[in-house]
Amino acid sequence: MKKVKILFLTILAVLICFSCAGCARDGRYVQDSLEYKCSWYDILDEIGARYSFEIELPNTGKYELSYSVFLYYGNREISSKQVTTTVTPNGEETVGVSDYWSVSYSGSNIVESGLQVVVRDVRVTAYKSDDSYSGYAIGYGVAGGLLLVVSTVIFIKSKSKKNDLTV
Amino acid sequence: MNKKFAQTALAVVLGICFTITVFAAFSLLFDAIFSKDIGVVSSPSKGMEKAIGFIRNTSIGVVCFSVATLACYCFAYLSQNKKAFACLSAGAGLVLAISCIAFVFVLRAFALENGSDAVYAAATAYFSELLPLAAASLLLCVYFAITAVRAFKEPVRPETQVGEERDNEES
Repeated sequence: MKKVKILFLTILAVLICFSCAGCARDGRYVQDSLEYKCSWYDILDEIGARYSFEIELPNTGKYELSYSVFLYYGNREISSKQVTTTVTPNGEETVGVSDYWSVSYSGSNIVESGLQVVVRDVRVTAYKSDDSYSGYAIGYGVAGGLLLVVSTVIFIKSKSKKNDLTV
Repeated sequence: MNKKFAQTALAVVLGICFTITVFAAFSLLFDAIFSKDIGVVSSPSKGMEKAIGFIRNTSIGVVCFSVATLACYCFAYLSQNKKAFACLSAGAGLVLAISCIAFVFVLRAFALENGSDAVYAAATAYFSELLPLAAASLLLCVYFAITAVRAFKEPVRPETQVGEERDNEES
């Protein structure tokens, strides 16, 4: 009866651990934290946009950050891109995210003050490490273990056979 | 070239191959242990994370299989049962060599598809550890395969004769 109780408690503990694994809170974008500076390099036909913003991270550990960034001139969208990266809190509640974005532009002359960077759809989720290749470790580990056991057994048997012959 | 010189040279080459296998397994073990450090010092891209995951998991697999293969080599050297251990060692060495070469090509394809120089640099560093292991394993596989063929070709002697020969050697 005691063994059954211990087994039941162990299974319950494992189930609780697995259910709590998905309970990590997501981070969020800090409103009005976006800062940017755009420059137009007409000789290079290029617009350079340096931007930064802050995100709040509730817990320690790694997070996956994804967002969309748009470059506008007035109401016209010049370019956009989707960014996915990982961030770690490093002991602080807010973390700064910054990037330099280089966009090719060979249209009519533009005024730098008319350029605008907009960040949307910021998502900060708990990072799940990619275990897609763990099969290799498990497969080769099991194969290696089996090989070791088989070779050891054969070796011990051949040794005992040799001892029998000498006796 | 006399026979003794050839045997000594062969023993030296096989010893070097064995040592390379040991060093490579040791180095790959630490590659697997330290693979997560890059996530601590920087925020790697998705492609880099995938490459590191591949390097970590394949390193663990290759280390586990290398340990078993090295044990087979040692048993083949120490045991009287040359047939079984020569076959096992040749097979294990071949599997190890083919696996290492396959991992090199898979990681290379992934790095080229990813198009990142950091990912390709990490992949190149991993290649330089897998390829010597593959070469050493192939050489040892060839040696044990020839040993196995020779062991199977030897005429089967009755056990009494084996015992008599052993007694003669001892006296």
